[in-house]
Amino acid sequence: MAHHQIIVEIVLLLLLGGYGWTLGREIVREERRVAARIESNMLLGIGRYTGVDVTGRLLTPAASPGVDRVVTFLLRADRLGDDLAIWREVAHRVSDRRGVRIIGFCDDSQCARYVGAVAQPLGFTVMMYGEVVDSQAVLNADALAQCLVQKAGSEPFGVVWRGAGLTPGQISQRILD
Amino acid sequence: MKQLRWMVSGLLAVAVIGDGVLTCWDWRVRSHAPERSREAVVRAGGSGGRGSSVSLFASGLAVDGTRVAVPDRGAPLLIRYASRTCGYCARDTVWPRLAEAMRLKGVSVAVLLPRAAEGFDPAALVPAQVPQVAFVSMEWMKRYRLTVTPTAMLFNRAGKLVWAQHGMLRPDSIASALRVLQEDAR
Repeated sequence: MAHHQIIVEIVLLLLLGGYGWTLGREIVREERRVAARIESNMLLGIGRYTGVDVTGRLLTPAASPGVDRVVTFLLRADRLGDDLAIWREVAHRVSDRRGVRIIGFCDDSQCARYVGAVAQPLGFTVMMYGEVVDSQAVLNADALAQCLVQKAGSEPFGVVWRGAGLTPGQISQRILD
Repeated sequence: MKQLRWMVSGLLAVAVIGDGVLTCWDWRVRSHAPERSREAVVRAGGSGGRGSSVSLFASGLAVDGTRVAVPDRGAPLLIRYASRTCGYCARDTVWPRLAEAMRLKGVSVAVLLPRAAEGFDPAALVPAQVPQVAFVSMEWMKRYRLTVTPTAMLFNRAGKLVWAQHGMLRPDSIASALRVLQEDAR
């Protein structure tokens, strides 16, 4: 009798252990899924950068013939003067190198209004509206103080452009490396 | 022999308690899926900026760069982040029922595309003729993180995200969204 009772208890124990193991694995898997979603968002690829610029034109600047390197960054309305000065200089420095296209994304409507009213050519395109995937990639890079550089046929990589002592010359060099 | 019995009984008790805790935990994870999805969709530190999320979304543009007719005030908004090329979006059989249930409650429905090139044929849209937004402003994007298609997002009249579901909808998603909408209206 005692033997039977122990055997039944051991079987029950094994069943409960199996159930607990399955549940535990499912919970861990769900937690990992949530973390992986956020992680994968940080590694989003870039497309063709189709968007609507500050003048309201629908553009795909990266699709122009001969473009082999695209640089994207976020223009911050609260530091617009500084950001525009840096990127004007960077655009000027890389202008000798054919095939580089620079695209800024305004972070709010105030930035778009201001840039749209700037009379002087900036040397780069500024988007007011973008596609979700591209916009997220630009935002994620900006959270790390980076712009995104995409060479033809390869994955995009980040280049830090906001940092103490970083000059437009150094940023241009990193973009062209 | 007696010692063995005590040991097995003890282990059994531990297993029962452990499984009980894990079951509660699993139930909590499953029943709080919309809250977890909502938390994951909201981008940290991105709540600033001018305008409600609904009015910012309504200023978005269609595939051809023209304005889309998304009502920007007075009505809650259900956004489905989905694309023509997404197999899970096509297989999501709960979406048409959720969209219809929301429409009957006066909720506007719109589709948000990951890329303009992945827009739906208007004839194949569910619900029919629902506006498709292909381009959104950074002001809106700064607030939300969209990681998978399909994702459903429900905004209340004030433009606040009150409910979300990552991935394919579940049979209980309709009741869950309706409950949140009802609670929010109180």
